Amino acid sequence: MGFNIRDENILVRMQQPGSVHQLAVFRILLGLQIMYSSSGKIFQYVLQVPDISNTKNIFPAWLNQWVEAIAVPYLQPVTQILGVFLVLGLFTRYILPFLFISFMLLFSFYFSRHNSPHPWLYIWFPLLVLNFTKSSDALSLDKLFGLLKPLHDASSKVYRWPIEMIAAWLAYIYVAAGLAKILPIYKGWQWLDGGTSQEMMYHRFLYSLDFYIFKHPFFDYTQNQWIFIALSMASIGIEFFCIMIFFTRRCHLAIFILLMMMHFFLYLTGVLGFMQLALILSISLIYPAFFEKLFTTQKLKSASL
Amino acid sequence: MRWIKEIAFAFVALSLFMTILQTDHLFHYIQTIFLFKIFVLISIPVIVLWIVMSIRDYLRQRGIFYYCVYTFKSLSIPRVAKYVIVIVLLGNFMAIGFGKQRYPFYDVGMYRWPKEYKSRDKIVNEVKYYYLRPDGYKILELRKESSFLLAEHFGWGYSNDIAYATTYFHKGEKENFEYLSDAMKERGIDTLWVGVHSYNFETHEVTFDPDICHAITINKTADLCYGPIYIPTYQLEKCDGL
Repeated sequence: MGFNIRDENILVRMQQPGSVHQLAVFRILLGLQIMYSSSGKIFQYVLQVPDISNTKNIFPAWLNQWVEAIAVPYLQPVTQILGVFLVLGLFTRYILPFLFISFMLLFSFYFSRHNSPHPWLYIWFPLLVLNFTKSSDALSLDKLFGLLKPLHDASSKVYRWPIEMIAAWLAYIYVAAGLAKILPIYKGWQWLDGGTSQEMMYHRFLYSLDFYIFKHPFFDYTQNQWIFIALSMASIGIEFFCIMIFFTRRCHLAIFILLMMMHFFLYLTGVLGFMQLALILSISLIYPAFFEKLFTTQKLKSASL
Repeated sequence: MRWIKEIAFAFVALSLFMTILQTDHLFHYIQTIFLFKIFVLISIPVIVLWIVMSIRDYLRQRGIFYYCVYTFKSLSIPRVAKYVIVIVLLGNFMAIGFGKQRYPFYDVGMYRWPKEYKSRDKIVNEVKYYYLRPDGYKILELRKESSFLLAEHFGWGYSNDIAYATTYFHKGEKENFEYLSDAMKERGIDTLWVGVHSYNFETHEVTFDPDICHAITINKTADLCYGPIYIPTYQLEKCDGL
């Protein structure tokens, strides 16, 4: 498969036609995810259990103290409500900065007590990018009520760069995860001996969907090192393959399929939660013309009725 | 082809650079481990060469680094967005480089430190909370509760984060038990006990032992996922002296 990096890289793609509907669909899905994530009982839970995560953030101490006090009573409901506005596309330009701030502060509180990148890592940068876009030009109440003037060209490149930025974010997450496994170099080979995969699958088997549904492991997790080595290599291979997002879009379908396979396997073996987020960001891997075709066909159908 | 060479060289040089950055007690290792000293002595010229070549190419307005900067500058996206993107890029690059996280900049290193492969016991044991019902016992499968289709007790809001926290991360904390106990009391279940769930990889037999005293022993001695679970005082008292 030959390709020309100079003509197909992500910076070139940012200047190509986009899709107003693709950006709008992403806005809606991101809003739904924010509503779901901010509705979790985890915030009340982390208030009750001791703080053992020892994580750091970029905010000053006084802000962290203030966030501790307002996170559950104020930030959580505010984020939920603003999430609804984002889904509906109502006053989008105005609510987005506030939503971004409330989301960041709410999840800084969460991360300060619960050392997990789920789900904020997938969300925060795409949400930040939406602040600079015309994401409510379609499928929004802003448009329905005439609160904004959408561009005439539904395929303007104005709609493309944010989508490519989100694709870049997806690539960063997985490539960085791959790098973290092999760096520092002297311990990279240790990662490939399959021990981490074995530990995860062996110990989490009795907590896995595979156990809950099928009652049987995929194979004997007490031995078969070669399978664990293969799984470790496959995970690093898939993660590094995501770097192709930067160079060409020809690998997008393969990347999407491999990521979904990896997450589905992890989902079955007890690592839940990331597949849904990866699916949302994967909207950015779909070719914009697909959305224009989809929504134009729907418009024509409803017009002919 | 030139781009591929440049990217490959950058990858090698940055990997070496990040390895040095991510090594705690760097000077101690240089002094005590001969191979590590050799590694550093080889790495430094490679990194310096890459930096020199990158700067030279940039000044001559060629190369991938110059192309990226020039093209990014010329993109028709809002100026503020460009600054924001550059800040985020630098923040994340530092997080990845140092292998450290500072919210919201993240190295995505959840599985950074490897575990050693080893032959494991054919029987895997996990200690779990359960409660008694008129027809026997029922295991409180906390991980199952975050699935819409499989949940039996908790509903909306019991997402993967809290399932992870209650099952693994905070399982040894008294407050975790109290949280779960309160939640179950709201659902009409007064007392939670700890029992032993087991799977035999040889015979494929699944067992659950509700013996509360055996659970205390297993909790102390077995190799458990994320360590021992918190066992309530009333269970410990019941087995005291047995």
